[in-house]
Amino acid sequence: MSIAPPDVEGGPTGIPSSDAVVAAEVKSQSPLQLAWKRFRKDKLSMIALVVALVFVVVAVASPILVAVGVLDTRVPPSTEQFTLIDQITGQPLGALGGVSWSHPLGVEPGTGRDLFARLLLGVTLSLSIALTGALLTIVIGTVLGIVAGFSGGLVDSFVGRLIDLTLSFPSTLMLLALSAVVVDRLSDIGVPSGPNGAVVNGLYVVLVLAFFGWPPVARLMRGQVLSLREREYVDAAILMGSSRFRIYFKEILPNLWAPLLVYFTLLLPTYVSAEAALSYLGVGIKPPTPTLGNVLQGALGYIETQPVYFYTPAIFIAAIVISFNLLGDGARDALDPKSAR
Amino acid sequence: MFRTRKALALAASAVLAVGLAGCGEGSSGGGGGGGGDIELNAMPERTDPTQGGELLYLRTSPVEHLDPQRIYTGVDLSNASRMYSRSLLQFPSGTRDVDEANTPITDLATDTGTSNDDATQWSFTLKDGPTWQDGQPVTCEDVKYGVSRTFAQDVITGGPNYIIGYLDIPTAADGSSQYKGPYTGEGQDLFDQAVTCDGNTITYNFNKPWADFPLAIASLRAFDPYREDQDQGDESEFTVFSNGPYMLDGDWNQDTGGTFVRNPEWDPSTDTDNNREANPDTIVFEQGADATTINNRLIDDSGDDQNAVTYTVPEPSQYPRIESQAADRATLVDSPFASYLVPNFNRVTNPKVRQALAMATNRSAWALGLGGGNASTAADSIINPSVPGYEAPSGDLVAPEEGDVDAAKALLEESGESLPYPIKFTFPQRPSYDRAAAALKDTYDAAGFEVELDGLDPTGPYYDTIQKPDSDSDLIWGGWGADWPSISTVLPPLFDSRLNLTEASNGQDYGNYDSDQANDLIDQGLASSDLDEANQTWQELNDFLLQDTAYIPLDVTRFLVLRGSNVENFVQSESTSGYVDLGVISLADGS
Repeated sequence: MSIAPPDVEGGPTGIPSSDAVVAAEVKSQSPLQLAWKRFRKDKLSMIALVVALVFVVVAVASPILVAVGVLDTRVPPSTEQFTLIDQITGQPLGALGGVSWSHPLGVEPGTGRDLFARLLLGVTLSLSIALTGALLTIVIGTVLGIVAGFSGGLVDSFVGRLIDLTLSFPSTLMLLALSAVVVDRLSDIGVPSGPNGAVVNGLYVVLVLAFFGWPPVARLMRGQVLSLREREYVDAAILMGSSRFRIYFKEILPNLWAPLLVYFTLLLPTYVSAEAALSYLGVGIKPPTPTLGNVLQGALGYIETQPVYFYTPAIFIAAIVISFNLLGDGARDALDPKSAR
Repeated sequence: MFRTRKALALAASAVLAVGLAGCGEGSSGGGGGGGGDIELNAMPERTDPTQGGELLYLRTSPVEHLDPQRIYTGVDLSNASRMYSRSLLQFPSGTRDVDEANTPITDLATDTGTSNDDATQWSFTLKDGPTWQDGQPVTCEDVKYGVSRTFAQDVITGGPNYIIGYLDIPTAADGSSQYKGPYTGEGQDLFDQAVTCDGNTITYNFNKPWADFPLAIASLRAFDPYREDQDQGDESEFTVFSNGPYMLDGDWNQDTGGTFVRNPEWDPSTDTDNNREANPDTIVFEQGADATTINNRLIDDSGDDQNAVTYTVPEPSQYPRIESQAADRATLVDSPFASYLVPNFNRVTNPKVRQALAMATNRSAWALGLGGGNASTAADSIINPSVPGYEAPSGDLVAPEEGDVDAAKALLEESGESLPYPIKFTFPQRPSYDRAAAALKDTYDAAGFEVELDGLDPTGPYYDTIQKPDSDSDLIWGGWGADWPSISTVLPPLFDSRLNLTEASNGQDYGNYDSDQANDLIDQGLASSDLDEANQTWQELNDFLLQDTAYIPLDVTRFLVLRGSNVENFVQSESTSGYVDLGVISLADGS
């Protein structure tokens, strides 16, 4: 993409005009193209991008693989279970927690469920929650930030106090205490509970993450808007009688994509680990529906005795968090090379 | 009558009882040198006990009460009997024979009691000689006063209150007894007629037959003597005025525990067959650590922990360490607790659906999820096999251990309900229960149900939640241990709808089961003055309940307990509800 497509400046005959040849040599490039060029030069960021893409592919593919029966997250039938699990201790039979060709990461103690299948499906659910939560956070934060920054005055101070209020909530305590109540309310207003309550419980986590996550986004956006609104093209739009809506989303928003993209890639990994932490506290999608958080929680006691069982979900979470973090850092460097790290 | 025993089973903190001791696999002794499997019912050899030393008792949950009339936890009932609170009768110490362990022997009384023909009147004569820790003799009046305290239901809370229903005292309009306990004195003359002292002989008059009354005396502490001049009501909750071999040294700390030392007034010759050997000089109770920590300390076996015992079972994740480092210091027995499922009869009204549930229940995978044979074993009845009178239900009443998905599917299709049939399954949430419940869910789902797992916060009031009659759970987990070794403390308290069902609560009948036929059988069983005849009725009732799918059997909890390397004469049996018997325990290096 760093070289313009050949037909961009080409004439209708496809024969490059002399003007076009000159243009190709001093090719003008969009900011995104420039950013991509910078990004590609950063090896670490590229590795992070590949790892992150692998996780995204896994997230998309694993429910399909489960549906067609390639992956099975269920407890095996008793006859098979007894070949996987010691009936006296419940521990997996075989080396490294029962690692074999059919169970590449071993099996879960006590049930014989395939750990590989559970982790892959866990990636899907954890990433879905983190992704939805991050998108919602960005949307709420951006809208409120733009409105506050552009309007100023009463609206600005109202949003400012709302931010203070939200930040002052003892969020962890609140989300624990409210979990049962809000989940019930969500069911009451018609949110489908889904298999084993996964939809409504997952939605609760998404709402909690967004509710407590939007203030920093709003502050960031407000700061950006404060400088943008003094630009001439905004004045021009006002003079032309554009609607507020148009100014917010057609004039100002397009100039915020870069910081938003960076913030989004950094938010995603924090939400992945937040989901894991919430699972540990008993909030969110309940077992046996696997998320990275509750697979890890189930493995907590086994750090000494079944290290493979404990470390694999931990490594999955770490890999997702690190790759998306590096991706975010790389995106920031590429999009805004002048900003300090 | 439930909180203690039930609560402990829930906390997985209770210990043993050798259900299958009589018919257990004839395996040889425990593995030597620390390595190897832990064998069921393999106890260390008894040795000549050494006197002296300081025994350390590690507990997770704090002692709820020291006051005999308020104790209701299995471990504390046994410990109080062995250490400081004698009763008319007791269970023999140190035996591994189920029948012997379940047969009361004398303690303060000279014989195991005489009753009239229909078991409505019981008399016991007290021995000369037993004294309190201040040297005064234990009198008939003390025993009578102890019994009277249970009637003060606003002060003496938490303990078993069977006696209120049995003693021949008229009830007030609201159904409570007209006797309000010794503190108000209201109705005292009624009580004095129901329980009489004639010299050294105490006589109880009941309003209905109580054939297994001696078992209740030996099991519970509610019938123990109490000295009136030592009674400060609620203030006495954590005080001890001993008539046994140990007395409390200083005060009891509700958070950290306390220390018991020898009672100088204790005369072993007043005990029966030296039942309380009382070998250690002191017994220190240390409470508050969690199960993992306690068992890690016992595995490591260093310092004072070499003198330690516990009732707290380890986490399944600790089994490999136990096998490699502490197998020779571990014992494994079947506990007196059984767990089971009840369908909610308010919601699952179609009998075919309930039968399908029972048919699809994979008990073996459930037991495996809880930790395998070290933690649990599949059961075929709600009655623990260690309870006298237990008989396996006839074959076709209970589904195969692995469940029969095809048969369940057929039943579900016959039921005419639209499939998948939604089921909300409520259980106490913990990693091991999550795994076990997931195993149940997978077979249920395969049979045509769609199960939502509703794991309740284990630190919250689990039973309060499931006791709500309007609960939206369809399938509910419960655990139970007999209050004394008799089926009359298992089936009637759990399935008598008249006893349990009120507008605010379903009592122990979590499935809101209401059957006149079952109630009639309960009346018939409780009215029997002959224990064998009663047991026949209980078998009939149990078969009826299974046929009606009033409950689905799950598993018998097992107690895997570790001990320090210096501990000798370690015995767990039905005598002490499967907990370590402090009557015979000793320390190798007693100094």
